[in-house]
Amino acid sequence: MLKPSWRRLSVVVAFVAALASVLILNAGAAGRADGTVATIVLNEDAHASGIDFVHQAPTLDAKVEHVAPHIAALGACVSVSDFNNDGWPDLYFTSSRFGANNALYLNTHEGTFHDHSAHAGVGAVNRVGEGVSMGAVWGDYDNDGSEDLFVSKWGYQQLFKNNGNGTFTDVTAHAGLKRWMNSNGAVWLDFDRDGLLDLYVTGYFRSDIDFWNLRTTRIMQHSWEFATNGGKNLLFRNLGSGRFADVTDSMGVGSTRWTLAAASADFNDDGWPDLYLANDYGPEELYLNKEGKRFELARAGLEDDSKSGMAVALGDVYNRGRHDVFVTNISERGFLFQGNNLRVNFLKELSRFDEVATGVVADAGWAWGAQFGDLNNDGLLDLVVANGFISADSGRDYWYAMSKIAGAQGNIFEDAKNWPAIGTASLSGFERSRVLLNRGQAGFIDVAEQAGVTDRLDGRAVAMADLFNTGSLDVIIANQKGRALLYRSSPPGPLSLRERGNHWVGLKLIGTRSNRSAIGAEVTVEFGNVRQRQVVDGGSGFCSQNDRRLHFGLGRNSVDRVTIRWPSGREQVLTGIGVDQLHVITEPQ
Amino acid sequence: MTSAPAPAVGSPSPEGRGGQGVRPTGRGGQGVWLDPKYLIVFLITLVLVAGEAQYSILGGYQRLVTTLGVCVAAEVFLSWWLRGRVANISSAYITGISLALLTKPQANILWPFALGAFLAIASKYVLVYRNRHLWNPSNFAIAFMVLAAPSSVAILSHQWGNDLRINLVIWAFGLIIAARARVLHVTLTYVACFVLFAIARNLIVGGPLLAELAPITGPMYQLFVFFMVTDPRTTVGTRRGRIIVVAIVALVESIMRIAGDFQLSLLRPFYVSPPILALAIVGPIAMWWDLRRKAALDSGPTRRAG
Repeated sequence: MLKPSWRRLSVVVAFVAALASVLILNAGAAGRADGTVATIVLNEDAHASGIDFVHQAPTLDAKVEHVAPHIAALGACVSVSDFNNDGWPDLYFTSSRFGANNALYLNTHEGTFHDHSAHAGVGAVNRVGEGVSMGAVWGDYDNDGSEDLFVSKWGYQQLFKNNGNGTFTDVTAHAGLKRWMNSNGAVWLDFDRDGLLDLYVTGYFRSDIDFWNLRTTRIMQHSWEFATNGGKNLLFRNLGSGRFADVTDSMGVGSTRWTLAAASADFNDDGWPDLYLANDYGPEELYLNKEGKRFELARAGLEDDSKSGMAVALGDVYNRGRHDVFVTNISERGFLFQGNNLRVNFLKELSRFDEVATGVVADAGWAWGAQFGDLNNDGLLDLVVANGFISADSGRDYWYAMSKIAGAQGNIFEDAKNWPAIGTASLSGFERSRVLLNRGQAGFIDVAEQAGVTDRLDGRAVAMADLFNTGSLDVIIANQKGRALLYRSSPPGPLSLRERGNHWVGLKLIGTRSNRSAIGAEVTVEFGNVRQRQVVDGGSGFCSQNDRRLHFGLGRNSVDRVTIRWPSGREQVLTGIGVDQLHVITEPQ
Repeated sequence: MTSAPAPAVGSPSPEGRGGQGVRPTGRGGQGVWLDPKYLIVFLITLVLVAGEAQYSILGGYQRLVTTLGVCVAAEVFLSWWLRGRVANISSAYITGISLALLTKPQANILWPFALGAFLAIASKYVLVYRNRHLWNPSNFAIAFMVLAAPSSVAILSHQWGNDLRINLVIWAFGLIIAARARVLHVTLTYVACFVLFAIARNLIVGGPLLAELAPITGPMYQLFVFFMVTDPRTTVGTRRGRIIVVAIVALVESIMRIAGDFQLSLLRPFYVSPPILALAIVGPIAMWWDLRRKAALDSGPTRRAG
């Protein structure tokens, strides 16, 4: 046996080794892509493309002026739609101050856009008494072949019918949607598969709150982890005559958990579109659709994991033919590590998701919008995450002040008047966006700087689309109180993606028995011994919507087979699909 | 967060406290479960169960298993390896639960729980002065990790929602058990000082008074005032000394908080968790001074007798 002094020395050595291990492991907490060959190149090109949109934040009642930068830190959103059916995606940005206009950027086919909102009649929607914009989603609710526009607001929601001639008509009242809500998002889905798009509108603050005429300052969450005093989400069923009916309660989807984002897809493969909610101050929720008759809140491993859900991005991360889910949350060095969630879908086998986020996927800062998309056409879905909450005075930080009440009893911070004044302080400001390159089983690495994404604006919504029909996805980011960014995908180095041997295929679906937008159509493309699944987007991320044309990167492979499950339930199998082109597919009658 | 290898909470320590310590309970006709040590085990288990059942405060059972497992294993091994006998594991249990609750690392990493647990227990055998360890074990581990690993580790920021009942239950049990363990004066002094300093801070920095008082209503503070700052193995020997030390802890905490309010960036690492770091600074200094003073007192008569 060792002498006591040697024994003691051995324990001291182990102790020092443990101390050193903490330092070493901490140093490797979040890695970047040093030394990795860049295969994603994005050039910020908004101004040169004619996009000079700057979001303006809402002004609020003086009763909450001391925390106004915090409360009013939402509303910069972007959604993609080819509203004029010319085959080129257009962009709609929201602003959130009375008198500030939203913008509808029309794609000129020449690599530029121009603001068409004044002519279209969807720009001047932020008016006193009517509320301000917080998001927008496109969907052809009346199946007339033109994409209509729903604008989520703090105030009265608005539905605009696309007249098919470049103009829109406000049909909110006729549609039965003139509701005062404090909504930060909405999603189109055909939950009953009747061929008509229904609408799910999320509530954030309570609906009885008028931010410009506050009767009380007890408007905040009553818990940071399990708050249920938010606005009620509403589900509107499309009755088919241009009118909608509120079926929230009968369908069981009236969550009041401060929902910031929602996405719809058939997560459990039963043929019916489900709803996945990202809730602030609470656990995520998955509502499984029971054959269009009702929704049931699933126990899928989500209920105990309470964070600050901001966005829901859907992607088949490992090419398994499933919709995995990425939900953004908050991380701040030293103060809080909620971590983003990457939930791998095992609903069919285990009736649950497995949360697997680590490293750069988990810790992106104060993360907001996010979207999956194959940015280098290598056959794996990459991930873009927008970050940063409030960038103001870089020398002042609100984190400490907020931490005073963050661990407190709920009745204290439910009342906004008990919150310390934020003044000119920043709160997780000046954070950079992340571009996470998917390497399959090797995991994601952050290649943002290598890819050219270096902005430090307060990112909110992220959308992806092949804006210029080049066969590569571009990234659009709407920034709070900042200019909108267009990251145009460029060939890495001297070779284009195609020249590097990576192929792609695009699919534009047109429903016939299904809703004409084909929103909710589930498409699985098989290539190179894998299969990747995507869903036609009715709204996802955070207050955003991708182009509803689906883009599949294929690597060096050709397409073996395409399986489309239309929202109507009909399944269509296609073979012999050519690569490096967009295919327009109409649902068989 | 009571230290081991310690006698029952409040019972005379091997080093002696000159009659300042609490007489042993749980003996002489009283059941072992009335021993304050086990009452504290009960209380922290109550915090764990209530927090997990109602608010999923753990963030995954693997965290508890890791922390508890490493704490107990380290305690058993190190006590046997260095002292030739296996120590009572109750304090390792308390340390393990405290660390599992207080440590909130980046998602899906377990190393802070394993290394934190080992550091906490090993600190009792390494960071010693006159055969007494200077830091409360979990206080040392948490303080080291939030300072040395801020990119990976943060501290508990959960709260008991808007449910006053759980708050009241924990406080009621906590106060009763603190009284039985004869450390109520420590808890009450800290709470009183916290309130006084909160009012003082409010006068200095302005803003809502409730924002300054708010932290003490959260579970992190409950763990702090009932399990960490009261640890008899890492507090000074006299009642008056303990009151003074805990008041100084509250004062240093308040200074850190004012640094936070005035955005002193040099002190930013400290205002992420003021009470924990204040205790980590003040506690060992007070212990060192107290042990040194006692040694001087003990050696004085000996020298004279010699």
